[in-house]
Amino acid sequence: MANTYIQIGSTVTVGSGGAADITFSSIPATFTDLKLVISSRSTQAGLGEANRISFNGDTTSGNYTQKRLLGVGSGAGSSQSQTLRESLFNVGSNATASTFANSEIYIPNYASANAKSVSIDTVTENNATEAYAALIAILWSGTAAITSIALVPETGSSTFVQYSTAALYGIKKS
Amino acid sequence: MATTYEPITTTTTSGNASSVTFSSIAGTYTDLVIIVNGGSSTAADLHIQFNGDTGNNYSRTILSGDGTSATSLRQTSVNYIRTDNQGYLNTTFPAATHIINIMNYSNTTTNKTTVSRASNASTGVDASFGLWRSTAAITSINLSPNAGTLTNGSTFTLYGIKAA
Repeated sequence: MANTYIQIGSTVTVGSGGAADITFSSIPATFTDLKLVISSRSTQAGLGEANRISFNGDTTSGNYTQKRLLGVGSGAGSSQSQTLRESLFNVGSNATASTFANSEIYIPNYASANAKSVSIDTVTENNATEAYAALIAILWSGTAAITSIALVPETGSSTFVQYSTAALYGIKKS
Repeated sequence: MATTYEPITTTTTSGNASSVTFSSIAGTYTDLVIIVNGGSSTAADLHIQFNGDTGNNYSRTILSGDGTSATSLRQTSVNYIRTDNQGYLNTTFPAATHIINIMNYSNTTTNKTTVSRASNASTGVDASFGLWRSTAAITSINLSPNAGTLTNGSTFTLYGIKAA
C-alpha cells in the first residue's frame, strides 16, 4: 500500500540567530489533511507565550475565530477571541533551560473550498509551579486551499530560539 | 520502510444521512484513528457505538471549554461514547473537527478505550475519554449525531496504525 502519511519538505530547525517566524509555504494540495508538529521556545520573558497563526498570508483578525480550553498551573478555564489568532504556545525564556513546548496542529480537508476547522493541542512544561496546556479550536473563514502556514510569536519583539523545530506532514485518505 | 498509518475507508455523506458506519474492520492494525470534519442540521454531539452494541455498556468523561469556563462531565452505564458535550456538529459547515483514537481495538482480552478531541471554534473545545466494556475485537463503528442529520459533504475517514 502507498505511504499515506508523508513529511512535506524538511523539518525546520531554528538556527543560532533565532527566527521571527516559522513558515511553511508552497504546500501542495495533494493530501487530504495536514498535521504540523512543533517543538518551540521563544525569547519572551515569562514561562510561556502564544503564537499567532495565519494561513496563506491572511492576517485579517476577523477571519479567524478561536476558542480554547486552558490549564495554567493548578487552574483551568476557557477563553475565546476573534481577533488574536492565538494558537500554540512557546516556552518562555524564564522557564527551565533547554525545555521546549510541544504542540500539534491538525487541519482536515485543508485543500477544500470550505472554511477550515483547525484543532490544536499544546503544552509547555518546566520545573516551576506554573505551566500551560491548551486545547484550541480555530476556524479560518478562507475558502482557498491552504498553501502556506505561518507562526509568529505573539509579542512583537519575541523570536523563536535556536533548536525550535517544526515538521509538516500530509495525510491522504486513499 | 513499512507503511504504518493506512487509510482503511472514507465516507463523504450525502442524502442527509443520520449516521456513518464503518464495518468489517480487519484486526490487522494496532490502533484506529477516525477524522471527522462536518456539520449537521442542528447542534448535535457525536456519538459512538461499537459492534452494534446499544446497551448501557459505555462510560465517558468529557472535559469542555466553551470560551468562558471549563467543565468536566462524567457519565457511566450509558449506551454510547460521546466525543463532545456542546453540540459541535451544527449548521456552520464544516466547523466541527473530531479526532478519535481507539487503542488496541482488536484485542480480545481487555475492554476498549477511546481518546477524542473535538473542536468547533464557534462553540468550544472538548477532550473526551470513553470506555466500552467489552473484550470483543472492534469490527464495526457507528458514528451519529444525537440530533438532526449530517450535513451533506461531511467527511469521515478511518485510519489504521500498525505497531510494526
